[in-house]
Amino acid sequence: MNGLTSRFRVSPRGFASPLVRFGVPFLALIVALIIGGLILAMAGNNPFEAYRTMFDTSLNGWSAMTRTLALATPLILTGLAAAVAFQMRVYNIGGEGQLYIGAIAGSWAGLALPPATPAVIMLSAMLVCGAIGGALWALLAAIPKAYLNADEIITTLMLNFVALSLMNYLIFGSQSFWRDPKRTVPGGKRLPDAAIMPSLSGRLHIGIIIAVVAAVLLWWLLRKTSWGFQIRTIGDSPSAARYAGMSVRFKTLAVLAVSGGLAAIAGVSEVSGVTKGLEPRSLATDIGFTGIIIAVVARSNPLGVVPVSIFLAAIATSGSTLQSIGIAVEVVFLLQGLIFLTVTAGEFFVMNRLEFVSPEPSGDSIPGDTTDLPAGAT
Amino acid sequence: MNRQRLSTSRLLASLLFVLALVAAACGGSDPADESAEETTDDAATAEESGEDFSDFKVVMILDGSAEDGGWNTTHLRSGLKMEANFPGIDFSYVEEIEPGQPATNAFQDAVDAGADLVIGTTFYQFDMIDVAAENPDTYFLTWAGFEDQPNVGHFTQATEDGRYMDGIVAGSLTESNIIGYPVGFPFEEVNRALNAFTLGAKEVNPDVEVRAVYLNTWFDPAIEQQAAEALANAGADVIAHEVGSQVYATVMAERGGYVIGYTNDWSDFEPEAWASSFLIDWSTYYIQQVEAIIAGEFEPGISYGGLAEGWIEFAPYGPAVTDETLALIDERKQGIIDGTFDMFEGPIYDNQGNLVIAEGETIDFADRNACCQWLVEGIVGEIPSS
Repeated sequence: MNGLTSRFRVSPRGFASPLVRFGVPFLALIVALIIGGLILAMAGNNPFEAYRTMFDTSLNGWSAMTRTLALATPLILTGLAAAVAFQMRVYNIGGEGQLYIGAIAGSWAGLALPPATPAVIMLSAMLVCGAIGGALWALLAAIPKAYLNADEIITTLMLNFVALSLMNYLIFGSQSFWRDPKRTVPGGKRLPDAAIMPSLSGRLHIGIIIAVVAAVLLWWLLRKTSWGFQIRTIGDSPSAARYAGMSVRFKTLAVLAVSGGLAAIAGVSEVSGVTKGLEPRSLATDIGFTGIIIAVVARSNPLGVVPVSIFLAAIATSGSTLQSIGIAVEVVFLLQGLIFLTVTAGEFFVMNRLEFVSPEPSGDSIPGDTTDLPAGAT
Repeated sequence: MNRQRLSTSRLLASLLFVLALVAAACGGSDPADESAEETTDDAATAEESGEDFSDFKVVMILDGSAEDGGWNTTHLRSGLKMEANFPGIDFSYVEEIEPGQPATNAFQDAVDAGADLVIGTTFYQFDMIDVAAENPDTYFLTWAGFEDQPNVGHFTQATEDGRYMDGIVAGSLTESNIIGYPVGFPFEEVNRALNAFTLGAKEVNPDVEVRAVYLNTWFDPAIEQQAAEALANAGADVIAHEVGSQVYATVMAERGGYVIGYTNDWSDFEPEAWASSFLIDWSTYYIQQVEAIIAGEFEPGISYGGLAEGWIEFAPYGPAVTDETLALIDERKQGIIDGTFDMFEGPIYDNQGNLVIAEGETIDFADRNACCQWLVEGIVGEIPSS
């Protein structure tokens, strides 16, 4: 890991000037596009046509923007879910499962209430039901963590599989309340119109507003309230926080409940705004896991989660158009991964300074704690 | 078929996400392999028969890799056959499109690119139905849908026509009279195929016992490996399956048993263990639909096709299958095509001892899609929790 320290020295920047703050990601993007261009050329494709297509599909014009934003909506919410937990150094890897539970609980409310219920009440009930479901699901991991110090990485991760099995059971394995009995290939009952999130434009629905409001609220909660201060203090040093009289145990429960609730709202947003019924295949598309990546890249800052999600969605949304101009799907995935990886790797140079040093005695080793990234992320 | 993307790799990916990104970047960096892939455009070396279909554009949307060796490969093969049938037709495909938002976008992209017909190879109905409503001049076909719309067609295959023949093969090959049958999820189409398979096996071997195991996954080699070994340890010397991986062939080859595939010709994989597999050919349907659209006679609604419709085919049979068995299979195939043989002719009892189809009754071909929430006598296993 530290094989390079003999030649290079990495030291944290105290303050990143605007030039560094915005210049480095921009340079990283250029580097990614050049490398990607070489790969495209090697694969026999025209890089300029490819980038033009990517831009046209994702960002060029309002209709392209709406599809990027629609794809970003659940990612923002699962990104926030991971971010709030990471702020306290609680590693909730269970966003995926909490999203399923949110979709199950939210669609339950949508199907159980009379179809004539006004949309405002219907959607509110779905959001509340979903969030409570996700929070309770997260507490299954939070309680053992708080009282028995059980590793939440393992428990939240494993609960994803339980949640997936539960969702599959409800649709494929039983004649449950959610399953449409008229369908021979199992699928969920359609939600009534009042339970479907109204469209803002094209496929973009009001879930995006919920997601952005949630981001601002969470930022305010973490930065401007004493609750948030305590969360961050516990994240920095649990023993110091305990010494100062903070209840780490209660905060663990609260933070995981909030985290689970946010991921569950992503599930409600998907089930109500996109799939319009409990459809396991359309819901199990790694939105929760992607949220973890987003939170890490956004350095757990709720306001950073929004642009990172949109950036990731913009890269991802051009998959089918890139294929349709003759680029092999493997090259498409490679290109998407490359751009995201390079730009996010560039963040390292925003936070840190890299210097050449002459091979000298190893007295001045570098402290490892240079970033906010969770352990294992680098 | 609905394959769930849940595997241990996801577990790893979630822990080592950054590594996974790097791995993806490195794993794909051999573009030399892929250069041969997009050759579909020149596949139609049009036999210049006068007609030219170059103003007709078909886009196929695949939920997995076109090279999955199974479901999507079958669709692409059928699409290429369709392409060859219409000189000059503009046929292309996009792959790895997950249901949900990515699928909706892909359908929209196909329309924007000027497609006359868009074919979805899995249950994409709800992802495309709004796109179809907004674009009435484009035609859409999806697998196993049901919602009516003037420009939408649905298609489902009569798996049971193929499965009955596989059952005959299994019943004639087994010496232990125990056949293993790992399946995915317990719903009608799956149960119907399992029932047809068992009826076929029992025709040639009334003592046979089919052990069904529901795995609740479409593809998970680790779980499938366990199931295969457990079944082999329980005495199964033939394994049929409808889950995705090739572990059954490996396990049966080790134990000297036989494997029956599912819509795949894997006769080269473990040739000694290979017995049979039915295949699906969608090209008959695709060609009919393209012709109907061009003639202005497109009929929306669901199409259900089996042997008689030319949708069901068979992979080469393995070396252990006797001529006698092959003769019986030919007879049964002909019987189904002529309408003289009906595998669901009563009396048929379920494995709880209830009479499910009375003497002289059957399940009409058109109604089969709604069958079965029962398992036929001879199957050891239960439909979980229905």
